[in-house]
Formats: sequence, structure tokens, C-alpha cells
Amino acid sequence: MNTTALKEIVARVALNDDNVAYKQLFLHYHPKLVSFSYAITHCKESSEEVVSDVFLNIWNHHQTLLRIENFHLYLYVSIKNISLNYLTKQRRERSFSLDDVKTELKSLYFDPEQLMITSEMYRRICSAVNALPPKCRLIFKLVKEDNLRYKEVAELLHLSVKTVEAQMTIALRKLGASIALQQSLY
Amino acid sequence: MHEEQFWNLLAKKLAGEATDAEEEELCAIIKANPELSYEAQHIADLWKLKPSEQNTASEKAFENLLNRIEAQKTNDISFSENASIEINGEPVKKRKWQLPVFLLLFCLLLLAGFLVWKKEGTKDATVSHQQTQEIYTRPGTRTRIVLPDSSVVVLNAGSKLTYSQPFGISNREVTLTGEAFFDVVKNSTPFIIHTNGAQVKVLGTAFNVRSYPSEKKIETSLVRGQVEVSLDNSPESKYTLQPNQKLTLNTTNQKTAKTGRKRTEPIAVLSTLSYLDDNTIAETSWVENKLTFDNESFEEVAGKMERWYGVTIRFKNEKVKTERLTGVFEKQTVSQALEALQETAPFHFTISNNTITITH
Repeated sequence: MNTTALKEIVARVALNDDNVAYKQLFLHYHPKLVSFSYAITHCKESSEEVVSDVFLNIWNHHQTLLRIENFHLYLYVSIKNISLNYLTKQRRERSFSLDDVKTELKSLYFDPEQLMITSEMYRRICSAVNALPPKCRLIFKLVKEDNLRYKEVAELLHLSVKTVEAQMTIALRKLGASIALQQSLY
Repeated sequence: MHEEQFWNLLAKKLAGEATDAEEEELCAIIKANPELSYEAQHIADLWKLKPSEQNTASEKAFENLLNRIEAQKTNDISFSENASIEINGEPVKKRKWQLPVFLLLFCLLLLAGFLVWKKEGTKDATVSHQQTQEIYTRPGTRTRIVLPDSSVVVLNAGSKLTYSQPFGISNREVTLTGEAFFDVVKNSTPFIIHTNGAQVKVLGTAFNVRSYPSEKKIETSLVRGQVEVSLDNSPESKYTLQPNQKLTLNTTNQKTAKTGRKRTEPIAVLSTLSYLDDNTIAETSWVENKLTFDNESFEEVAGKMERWYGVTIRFKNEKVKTERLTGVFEKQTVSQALEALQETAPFHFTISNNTITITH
């Protein structure tokens, strides 16, 4: 969904109580937001509840949605805040360490056929991604799969844009190494 | 060495963060170090992969959410504090005048609705209450849907299924474009599938309907139970299928029949299902992730492969289109499948991006 399409859908929810648009919005974001919440809560049930809370909230306050400048980022910030609330309830702590996030990349659990690569290389790429440090993997996922800008990731995770850039560089260099290694085998 | 800078710039380019100057710098680095282009290309391909967008877990989660919205309506419990919406750090307060204004608007809407209903008659008004559900699959993907009446539909690539809600008690009608396998739960309301000028009516059975507009025919294959197929423009002639039978309706003829021109081919052909070596039914094998064709023309095969793999296939040569092909593919890539087909038919192919060109 591009920015214009998103704006249009949010407007439909905000102005017309449009429940078809609301559903579309939910289905579009659900997997991504559950996965982001899971990175913080490490609990499947909690992450589902967090996403449900955020969307219930959106429905209840839909007339104010148009006042949100960046709805895409707003969703991620809300998910982060409410996930932290869940952590507080469970462990009485309201902070999370970026070195302790759990991120799964959804787009890599795909048929290697689609890329026309060998399954051997596919395995290598997957293990390279899984071997990325937690913080690096989360940033990589947020940029690649969640379409967040560097600036937005920085804002969301309270980092500097330079740090995001550096982490992305690490992620790509390691991915590249896994591919290059494969190349030398043939 | 530019290496660190290379990865940084490549990341920026893929993420859409690179400035023009940075893109130029990246090009210059690749030019100076051609060996890097191999990794760059693979990573760019990898980057393009998107997670599948919709799944049944999300649908289920949405139902739960709707239940919560319903529950809060009846209980009127304000939801937990921690869920309060914040914009620029300030909680948004509900305004006091909102409730009366909404009530007033609601009454006006009711009145307006009533007037429209009076004018247009009952039928239209009930239709406007219904909500249409639309589920579609892109080429290269398949999806499994559980309908509100618990019937299961497996939707093949490049297909669309629509139905209106409420679904299940008095209404079990769906519209299909493309191909789907249905396992219909038995119930007193007939389950009706509308497709491209024909309808398939059942009570409780398992069967496959294939109706891609590009193929100009509708195929209904019955696994168990009983189905009834009729054409929209001649509802009096019905075809009843027994298990293990397949009905092929020719949709181009149907149109000529309407205009009164002479038919060249029979409208309907009844045949038995074809079996693969391991006793699976060819017509429904796609449900188990198998791509099959049984003595079909290359043109038909290309259409199937385009949807299956999400590629575009072009023919440079008309004669190749008529080659008859037979094959079953399960885990093969599109190039492996084409290579296997080259064993039985004389053709060459080239793949660039997602387009495959077939030459003699």
C-alpha cells in the first residue's frame, strides 16, 4: 500500500465510518504489527492483543484519525507503547533492550523458486539473516518489510539516523558475504 | 577500499533513501569493481520479495476484534486506559456535544434511509445493507478460505471469489472468476456458484470449478456428492453431474447461441475425471500444490504456468502454441519445468526478469 492509498483508506475510516476500509487497513497491517509487537513482548498472545487494542482504539477514535500526520509511523509507535504496557503488567518493567528483540523476517520464508536460486543458497541467505544481531535484524526488517524510512526507524527506536544507516550497512554486507561464499563454491 | 561505502549505498538505494549523487557513486563503484554486481543483483532480487499480504490468521484476528467492538457497544465499558489514543503526546478527549449530535445524525439517517426504502422498494434496501466480501489471489499464489457456513474454498492463482454477508443461513451464493476447489458443508440452503454466465448448484459436496475468462470455457469436476449446472440464459436446460464426472461448457458458443448464430462446437461436453499415476485426480491436483496438464496445447499450458509461477510467457512462434504437452510439476522452478518439457517438444526459451520468451 503506498502513501496515497493509505491516506485514502484512513480518510474513509475517519470520515465515513467505512468498515470495509477499516477491515482492509487491519488485514494489511495485522501480520506486520503482530510481528513487531512480538519482537518486544516475546509472547504470541500478547502481541495479538496489542494489535487488537490499537485497532479497537482506532475504531473508537476514528473521527480524529485525520489529525495524525504520519499514520504509518503512528501505528508502529502505538504498537511499541502498548507492547511496553504489556511488559509492565507482566514483569513490572517498562523498558526493552534493542539487544533483546526477537525478529522474524516474513518475506524470506518463501519458495526459493520465486527467486530462481538454488535451495542451498536460500538456506545460506536465511542463516545469514538469522545470524544478524537482534538490533540489526529488527532495523533491517523495519526498513525492508515494513517500509519505514531510515528517519522513521530512528524516531521509533530512539536512535540516530546514522546508527540506522550503519546497521543497514552491516545487514547488507553480511547478506552479500553469504551470497559471495556460495558463488566461490561453483 | 570502497567496500563499506558500497554496502551503505546499496542499502540506501534499495530502501529508497539514496540521493541522485549517491546513486551515481554506487554505479561508479560497481563499474570499478564488476565482481560486486553479482551480489548486488541477488540482494536486489531478495529485497523485492514481499511477505504474503493476507492470511486466514488475520481474518480470524479481525473477527475477534469485531467481537470486541460489539461487546463494548453492549456493555458500554470504556476500554483500558493504556489504550488511549495520543497525538503529539496529548490524549484526545471526547467532546461533550458529540453524543447528542451523533444521535441527531443517526435519526436523520434513519429517516433518509426509510424514505429511500419507500421509494425503491424492499429489495434494493436490503441489498444496500449487505456487505460484499471479496477475496482474490495474485498469480503465483493460492489461498484457503473458510466461509461463514464452514464450507472450505481453495482459491487457485489469479482468481476472485465474492460473496455478500450475511452468509450461511438464507444465502449461500458466491461469484467466482478463475478456479476454486469447494468442499461444501451440507445444509438445507443450496450453495450456488455464479460464474461467467453459468451457475453451479449443490447441497453438500466436494468439487472443482475452473472458469478463467481467458480460457473461454467453464469446467466443473465432481469428486463426491451431486451438483447441478445451468446456463444463465437457458435455465431450463440443467446438467446433473455424478461423482467422477467432468462437465466442460464452452462459453464462446454460449454467446453465439444468444445471437442466434450457428454453433460450431457443442456447448457442453461430459467426460470422466483423469487420474495421475499415483491415483490423484488431475483436475484437483493443484489443491495439493501440483501443476498438471494432460495432453493440452502449449498455449493452454502457458496460461496455467503464468498463473502458477506469476510470470509472463510470450510466443515468438505461432506453431509452437499448438504442441501437445503432458506433465506434472510439484516443486520444480519454472525453468526446471520448461527444461523438462523440452524433452517432449521442440522449443527454446529465454527468461529475463519475469518474462519468458518461447521460440521454435
